[in-house]
Amino acid sequence: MFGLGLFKSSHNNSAWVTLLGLVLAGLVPFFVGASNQNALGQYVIYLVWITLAESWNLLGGYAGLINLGIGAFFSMGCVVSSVLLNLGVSIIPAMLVAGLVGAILALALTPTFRLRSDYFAIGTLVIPFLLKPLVEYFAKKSNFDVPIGIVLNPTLFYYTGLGMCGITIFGILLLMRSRIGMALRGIGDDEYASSALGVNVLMFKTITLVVSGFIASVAGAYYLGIIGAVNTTIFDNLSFSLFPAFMVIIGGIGTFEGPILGAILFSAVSYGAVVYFQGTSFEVLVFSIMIMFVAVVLPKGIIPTLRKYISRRKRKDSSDKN
Amino acid sequence: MPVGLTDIVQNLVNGLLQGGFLALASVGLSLIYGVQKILNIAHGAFIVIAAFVTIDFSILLTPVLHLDPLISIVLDFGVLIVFGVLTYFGLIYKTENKGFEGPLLATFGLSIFIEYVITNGLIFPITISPTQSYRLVLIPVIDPSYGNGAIAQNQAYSSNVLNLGGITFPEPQLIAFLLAFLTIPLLHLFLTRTYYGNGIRATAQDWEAAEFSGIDIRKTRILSFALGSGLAGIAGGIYAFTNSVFATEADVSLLPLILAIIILGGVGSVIGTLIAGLVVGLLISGSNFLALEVLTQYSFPSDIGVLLTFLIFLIVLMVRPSGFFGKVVK
Amino acid sequence: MGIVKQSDGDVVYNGSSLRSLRPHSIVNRSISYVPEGRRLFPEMSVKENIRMGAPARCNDLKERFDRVFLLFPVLKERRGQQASTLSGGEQQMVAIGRALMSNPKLLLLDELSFGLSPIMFENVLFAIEKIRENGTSILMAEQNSERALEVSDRTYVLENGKITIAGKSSELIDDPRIQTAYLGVVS
Repeated sequence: MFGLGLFKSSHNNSAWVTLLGLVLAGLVPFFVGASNQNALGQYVIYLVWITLAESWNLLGGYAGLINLGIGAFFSMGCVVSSVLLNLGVSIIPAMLVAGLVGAILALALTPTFRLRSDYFAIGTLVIPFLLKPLVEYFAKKSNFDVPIGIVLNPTLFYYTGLGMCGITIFGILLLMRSRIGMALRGIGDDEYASSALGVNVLMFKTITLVVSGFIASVAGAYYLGIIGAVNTTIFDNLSFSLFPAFMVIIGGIGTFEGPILGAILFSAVSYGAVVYFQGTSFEVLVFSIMIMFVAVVLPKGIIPTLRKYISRRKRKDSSDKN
Repeated sequence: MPVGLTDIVQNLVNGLLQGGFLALASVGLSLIYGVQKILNIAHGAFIVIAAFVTIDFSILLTPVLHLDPLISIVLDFGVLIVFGVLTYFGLIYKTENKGFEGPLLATFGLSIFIEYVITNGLIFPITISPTQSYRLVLIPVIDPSYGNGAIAQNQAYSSNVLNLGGITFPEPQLIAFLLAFLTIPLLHLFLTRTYYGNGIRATAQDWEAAEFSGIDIRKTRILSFALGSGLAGIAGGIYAFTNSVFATEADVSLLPLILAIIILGGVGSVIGTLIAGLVVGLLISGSNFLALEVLTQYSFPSDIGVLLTFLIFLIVLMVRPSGFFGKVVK
Repeated sequence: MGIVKQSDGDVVYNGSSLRSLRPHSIVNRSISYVPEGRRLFPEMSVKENIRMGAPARCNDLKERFDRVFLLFPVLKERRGQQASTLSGGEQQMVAIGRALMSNPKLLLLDELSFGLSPIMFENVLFAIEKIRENGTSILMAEQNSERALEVSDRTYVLENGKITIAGKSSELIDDPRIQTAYLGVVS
């Protein structure tokens, strides 16, 4: 359908399923009640994590650039969004501008590509910490609130998030099916071979970082709408850097469904379990054990393991027939 | 605010003492990462375990058995070796050959697990008296005002202070420093003078060649992981000596710094890590001092020392990725 | 050597299968391997490199060292030097010395001539001869067919993983198949 036909038809299946999921998600406000902030509020956080996971998967999954500093973009987007909202800008333009800032930040960070892969991962880890004083210096303050006057209509906010999520998922899908995507996969597979074939590795890596940074910053800008006020300590929060990576790892690095599945599962267990084990912090225990379990039993992530299982069954069936 | 010479020297001394701890905390991970290229995210959590073991020791056993809390350092070493071996067989062994993601995810889960267990205790509570109730193995002294983290509020050691010419050396800090300065050269000797130690170095440099030479790689990996964990244990004990208040979240804040030190010192170089740790300790202490007490006219952020370390770390990484003491790697 | 798992068939040595052994166990069975490209431990000294070839507990460590240094005197001079600073030929000697420390009955040499000047290669071959005289069997995988045929007793030619020609080297040297394919002789 979209040109190069790189993906097997199973990917098309997943794409349709995801589209269906998004449409269904779009119907939720009708069931829950359009102004039911509580219910909708529980769901929007999933949208943020899915988007963030998608952004990480682009960089770390497809292009093979394992980066542990995506929180830098996220936090930056959050802060920028707060500044803009205070200036009277509405949420969607604020998100786009935040995204642009993220893209510029990505451009500034391209020198890090000189680092070898594991050093790249560790080097990017410290970048959010370094951004914090810079932000404080230029903004001359550390607290960024959304003025109480701006009330974000819950339903509208929800749909905005849904849009952000959907555009990200399918935008990346289209990107990966284009020429750019093919080059990225080549780089992710074998950087030296690609470069020997004439692929301008640096340019493609830059494009990936810029897009990934843009998306992550948009997610951060949106996140402000959830938390209302942000402090520069958000830069110190390693969760935004590490969790997207783990979500994608659990779901399956470099797959289409991986980030979505991983983000939903991860968030469901950490947020959902809170409700189930009301009153204790027992869910943390369950959460940690589940992570260790997945890591040992499904080291390649859920989707790849599933695929292997399915294809093995298919092979067995066809050999049984023969 | 007038700054005297004693203030400066005091500050340097504090920095060195802190640096000793940092060096010890980092050297274990440097060993593990050097041999297996595995980042044990739970390394910080290992340190915290040991810290709490030491605290418990000094609260429970010292009054009863009149044992010097220093002995708890040996206990820390032993406990963490066991922990390291368990972790290796439980999490690492199955995942180490299937790409980097497995161990990363598994140790991440482990770190959360450990944090939870320390904070909330895993075994049921024992009530000794109406005002004292403990849990069996890990006994955090919980300060409810802090929220979820368990805080140890007793200093594991004494608050004696050695006074030399106006410079104060808190006794626990001094002991911690001496311990670091004892352990690391011992480690270096082990790595260079024994077959198994050399085996670790060889495996870190070229594991296939090590296999061809008849070195048992599996045993080497277990050894390095266990040893690295044990070293984290010693560091944890020292941490309990030198900090009167700490929370389980300490492991999260330590890890980026430890990573920076490992790379600055050169992965796998023990002496390099020692020097890097000391330098970073001095850097943090010195820049905090400079920024916050001398140059107060510019309002520097309060954690400027750490930030400066990260900045230098990034710069060094870009310019010389193998750190100051590592060999140039392709 | 046990690093790449066998997919098919078996490797039998002295009547017992080596099929699922891990590398260090294979070394314990008196088979030693000198890898292609030497693969020394770059940051360790000559002496340390050589030491690692011997088992953990070794009663006659000094004697083993002496034997290696007798074979390669230049290594004795340079024994404290870091391995990465040696020349190609010296590195090859260290690699062989390291492999000898386990007192192997069978020595596997992979691309011995790789990166060596012809003179250096001759030096090394001379040492290999001595090793053979001491009772160790040698198995060479070698690009330099001419010299390989000249120094060996038997030769096996592998094509696509199968043995296509086998026989005594002294006879195969005159074999026209080998002469055109490997010795560049135009018939």
